[in-house]
Amino acid sequence: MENESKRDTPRGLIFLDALTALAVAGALVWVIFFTPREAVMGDVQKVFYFHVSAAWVGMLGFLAAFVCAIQELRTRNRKWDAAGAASVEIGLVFTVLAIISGSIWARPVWNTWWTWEPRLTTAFVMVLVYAAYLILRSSLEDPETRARVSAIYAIVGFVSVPFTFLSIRLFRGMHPVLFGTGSGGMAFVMAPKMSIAFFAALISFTLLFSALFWHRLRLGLRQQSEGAERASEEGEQQ
Amino acid sequence: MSVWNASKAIFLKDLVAERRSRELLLTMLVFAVQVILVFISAFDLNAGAREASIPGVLWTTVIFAGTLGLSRSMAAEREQGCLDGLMLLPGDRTAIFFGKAASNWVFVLVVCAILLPLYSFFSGTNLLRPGLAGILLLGTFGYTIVGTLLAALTVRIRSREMLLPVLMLPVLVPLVLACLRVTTLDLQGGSAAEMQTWVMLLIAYDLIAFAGGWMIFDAVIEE
Amino acid sequence: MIQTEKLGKTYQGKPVLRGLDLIVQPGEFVVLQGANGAGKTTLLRILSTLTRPTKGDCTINGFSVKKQPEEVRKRIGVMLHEPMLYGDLTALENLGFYAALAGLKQRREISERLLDQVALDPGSSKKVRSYSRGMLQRLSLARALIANPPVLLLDEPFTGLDAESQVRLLHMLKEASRDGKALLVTDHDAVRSAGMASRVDYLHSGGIVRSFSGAELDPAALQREISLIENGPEKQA
Repeated sequence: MENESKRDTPRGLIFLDALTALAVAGALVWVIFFTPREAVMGDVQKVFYFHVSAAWVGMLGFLAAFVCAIQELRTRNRKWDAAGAASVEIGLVFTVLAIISGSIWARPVWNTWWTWEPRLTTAFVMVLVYAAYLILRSSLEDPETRARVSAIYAIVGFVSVPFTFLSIRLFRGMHPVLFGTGSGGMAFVMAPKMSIAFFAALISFTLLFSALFWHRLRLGLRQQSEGAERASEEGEQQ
Repeated sequence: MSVWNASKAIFLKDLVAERRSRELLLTMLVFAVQVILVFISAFDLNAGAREASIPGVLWTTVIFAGTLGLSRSMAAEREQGCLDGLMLLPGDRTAIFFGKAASNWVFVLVVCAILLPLYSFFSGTNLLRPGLAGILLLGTFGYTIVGTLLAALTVRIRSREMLLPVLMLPVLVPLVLACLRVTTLDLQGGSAAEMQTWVMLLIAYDLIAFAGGWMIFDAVIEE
Repeated sequence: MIQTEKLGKTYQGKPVLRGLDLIVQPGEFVVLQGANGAGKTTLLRILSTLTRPTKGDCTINGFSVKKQPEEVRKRIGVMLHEPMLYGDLTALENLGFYAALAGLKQRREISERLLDQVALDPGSSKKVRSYSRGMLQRLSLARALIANPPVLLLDEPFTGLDAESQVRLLHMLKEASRDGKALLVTDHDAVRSAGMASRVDYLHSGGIVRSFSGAELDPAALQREISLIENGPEKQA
C-alpha cells in the first residue's frame, strides 16, 4: 500500500518480534507438555500461567499509560500521547484476556463463569475505565486537545484503581466467603516445573507486550506525522 | 486570598442564577422522582427485601440525577461565551473548579433534601437520620468533585451529555460501594468498626479527588 | 504593550497563523483587518491566554502568555464575538460579578459608573436575556473595561451596532487610546475605523502582509489598497 522504504522496520523490532515468537512458543510448549498435571483441578489449571501473565501485562499497560500521561502534560510532546494510547489499547486487550482466561479457569473449578472476586472485579472495572478512555479519544478530533484530555483521564482512571480494589475487597469481605482463602481457594503449591512455566509465561507475555507496544507506537507516530504533512501541504496550497 | 474571593463570586453567581431560572434543580428533581417511582414499582417486594433495596435505589437515583445537573451546569457556561469570561479571570483558574463544585454540591444536596422525605414516605422507612445525612454529605462531596472535574474536561465535546456518565461511573466505584455499604449499616445497624473503615476510605477518596482536582484543573479547563 | 514574536497556531494540523510579528505600543489604536477565517479571532484568543500558541510567543507588558498567563490576564480587557454575559442576571449584577472576579473593591460604584459610560441604565432590573445586540455589545465593553486594564483586545466590536452606536464606540476607543491604553481591534472592514486608528495591519495567510499608517489611512485610499490585496491587480479595471 505505501512506500515502505522510508519506514523500514528497525532491526531491533525485528529481533524483538523473533524473540517474542520464540518465547511465546516455548512457553506454550513447556506449559502444555512439560508441566505436571495439578492434582485437584486437572489440565485446566494450566490456564493459570497465562491468566496471571495477561493480568500482569494488563497492569503494566495501565501503569505505562499513567507515566506517559504525566509526561504528556509536562512536556506537551505528543509522542507521549501516542505511547499512552498504545499502552491503553494493549493493556485493555490483555486485561480482557486475563478476565476471559480467569473465567475459563473458574468454570470447572467453581461451576460458575463469573465471581465477584476482588481482583477479577477490579480488572473488570479497569476495562470499563480504559474503554471509556478510548471512547473519549474517539470523540476528540484536534490532536493536541485529544492528547491533553486523554492524559488527564488516564491519570484519573489510574488513581482510582487502588481505591476500587480496596473497596471491592472490603465489600466482599463482609459477605460469607464462598471459596475459602483470599485467593478464592485457588491456591496450590507450585512444584519447580510449575515455577519455570510461570516465569516462562510471564516473560514471554512481557516480551509480547513490548513488541506489540513498539509496533502500535510506530503506527501512532506515523499517523501523527502523516497528519502533519498533509495539513502543511494544504496550508501551502492556500 | 483572591482564589477564595473568585470562587465565592462564581458560587454566589450560580446560586442567584439558579434561583431565578430553577432550570437545574427542576430537571434533577423531576428526573430523580421519576427514577425512584420506577424503582419502587419495579420492585414489588416484601418488606424485608424492599428495605434491603433502599441504599441501592437511593444512591442510583442521586448519581443519575446528579449527572444531569453536573453536565448542564458546566455546559450552561458555554452559552453567551461565559466560559471564556470565567477563563479570563485575572487570577488562578482553579477558582472556577472550587466555585462550580461548591454550587453543584449545593444543588445535589437540595435534591437529596427533597428526595429523602419523599422516599421515606414511599418506602415506609424513616430516612431522616443523622447517620444517613452524614454519609450523603461525604458521598455527594466526592461525587461532585469528580463530576465537576470530568464535566469541565468534556465541556467542549459535542457528545458530552452521553460521555460524562460513561467517564464518571467506573472511577466512582469506590465511592458508590462505600456509600451503599455505610447506608446499609446505618439503616440495619451493623459493626461500628466496619462503618469506620468505610468512612475512612471515603474520606481518603474525597481528599485525593479534591487535591488531585486542584492540582490538575488548569490543564483540564484549558482549550 | 502588545508584542508577538513569530507566532504560529495550528488547528487540527492546519496552520492558521504563521510567523506573525506584531507590536502595539501604549496609546496606539491598531486595527487588524482580515477576511473571515484569516485568523483574527485566533490571534486575539492567544493574546488573551484562552488558547495556547503552537509556535512562538507573545507578551503583554512584558509578561509571556505561555509562562505568565495570570499576569497577562490582569492586564487585559477582552471583547469577543460572544458577549460573555449571564442572561438571568441584570446588567449591574453582571458587572458586579466580573468586578468580584477581578478582586475589585467598591464594585457597585465602579459598575454604575461604567454603565453610565456605555449609556446603559444602572438601575434597570431587566435581565440581560432581554437585551438587544447593541445593548449586549455595550455591556460587554463595560465588562472588558471593568478593571481598567492597560491593554484592550476587541474582536469585531462593531458587529451588530447601528451607525450611531458604531461612531460612539469609536470615540470611546479613541478616548481609551488617548488615556495610554494599547488597543488591538479586529475588523473585517477596517475602513470604518481608519479615521481614528493609529495603524491598520492587514492579516493574510497567517501573517501581517501590509501595514497602513499616517496618510495611507485616508478611507478612500485604504479601501482601494485593501481591494487590491484581496482581489489582485488583474481584477482592477
